[in-house]
Amino acid sequence: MVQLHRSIDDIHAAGAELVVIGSGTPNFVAGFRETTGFDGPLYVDPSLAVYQAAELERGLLKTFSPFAIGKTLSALGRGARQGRTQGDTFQQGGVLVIAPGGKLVWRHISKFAGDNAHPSKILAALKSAA
Amino acid sequence: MSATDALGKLSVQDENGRPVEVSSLWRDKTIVLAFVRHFG
Repeated sequence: MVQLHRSIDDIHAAGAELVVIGSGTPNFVAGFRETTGFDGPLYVDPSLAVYQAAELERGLLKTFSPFAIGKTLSALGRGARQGRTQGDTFQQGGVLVIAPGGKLVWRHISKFAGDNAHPSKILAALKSAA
Repeated sequence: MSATDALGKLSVQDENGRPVEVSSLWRDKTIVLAFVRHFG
């Protein structure tokens, strides 16, 4: 992923919460927590219905394109690993900032593996929503 | 209909496999909702 959980103090300071949705089964949760150290709210979306409603399909398709996979592998080969354990098997699909009442404040759709939302942009969006 | 209307009516599962309505996640505060894929 997703160095996003490293910005969690800043997110909390802005009065917001970081919520992670994974695409796996509930078993996904333990591996994710162990790898990232994230101990906040974490859910899974096995059917991918939530992904689709968030309009992330395009990003997801691109994540699995040969180009994206090649990029991920070459990044790992260069030692660009980010997980605490072996390699970084978690990729960001996108980030939505949603205010109470459901107002979509900001959105980043990852266009390829490694195209992560920049924490400073998320924090700016949180400020504008406050 | 905004993007979050459709999103909010769906459910995700918590760590015990129980359904949680997505709109409940932003009921009380602004959330940064991060979607994560797992490889391998």
